[in-house]
Amino acid sequence: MAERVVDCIGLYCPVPIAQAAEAIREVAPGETITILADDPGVENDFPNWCKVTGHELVAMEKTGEGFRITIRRKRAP
Amino acid sequence: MAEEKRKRMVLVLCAGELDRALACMNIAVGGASMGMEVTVFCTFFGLNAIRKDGIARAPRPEEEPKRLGLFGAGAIRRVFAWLNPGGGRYMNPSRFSFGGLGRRLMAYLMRDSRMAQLDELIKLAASLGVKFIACTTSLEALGIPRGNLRPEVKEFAGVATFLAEAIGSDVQLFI
Repeated sequence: MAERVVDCIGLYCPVPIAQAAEAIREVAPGETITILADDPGVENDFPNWCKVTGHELVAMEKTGEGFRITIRRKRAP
Repeated sequence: MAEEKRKRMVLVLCAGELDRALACMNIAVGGASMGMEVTVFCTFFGLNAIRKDGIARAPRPEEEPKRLGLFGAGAIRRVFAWLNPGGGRYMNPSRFSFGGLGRRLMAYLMRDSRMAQLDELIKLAASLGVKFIACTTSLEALGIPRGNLRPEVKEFAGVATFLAEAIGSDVQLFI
């Protein structure tokens, strides 16, 4: 299955968070989405977003142009 | 998420400055993105943020009930409507207004850094389920017709509705 990638390069807070919130609803629980962003704020924002929403922050890598963030949608309780 | 109660946030936008309106919509979008139920209550000059761009059509003399003075408040309201255009394109920043030049400079800087403009944030907020409420008293006092508000505004209410929302919410901010 093609991985859901959200390209937020060049977009600023709060747009990356908003796009992630929309994208995560489109995948099944347990599946992941990847966010590409270059707003430096995302380094703190996505861990906190995951803390509040309950989704799992799988990985956050620094890339040449910014960050590559992988988030797993939380499973239905 | 269904089993746990969603967190709620109520924002009051009372001021008509562009930076405050941007901060308000930014927090609203952020809250909705984090799964919160968000209500933005706009009152006084904060209403300008949720108005359509430009000058509102003020009530004509025959539509205006004469209540005060010789001419009634209608004449003042018509001048006021002209002096108080709405919408993000007409809102000045709280500093460096430069008689209207400041907002153009700010819009230019925001476009250059690809920061979202006010109307984009409002559309995004509405698409994420943020509820906008316009204060009916302020609308009446400032002479802003309901038709001058953006289509995202679905509710019109007063202080009791705000308090009913605020009393059970987890975050309340007055901007």
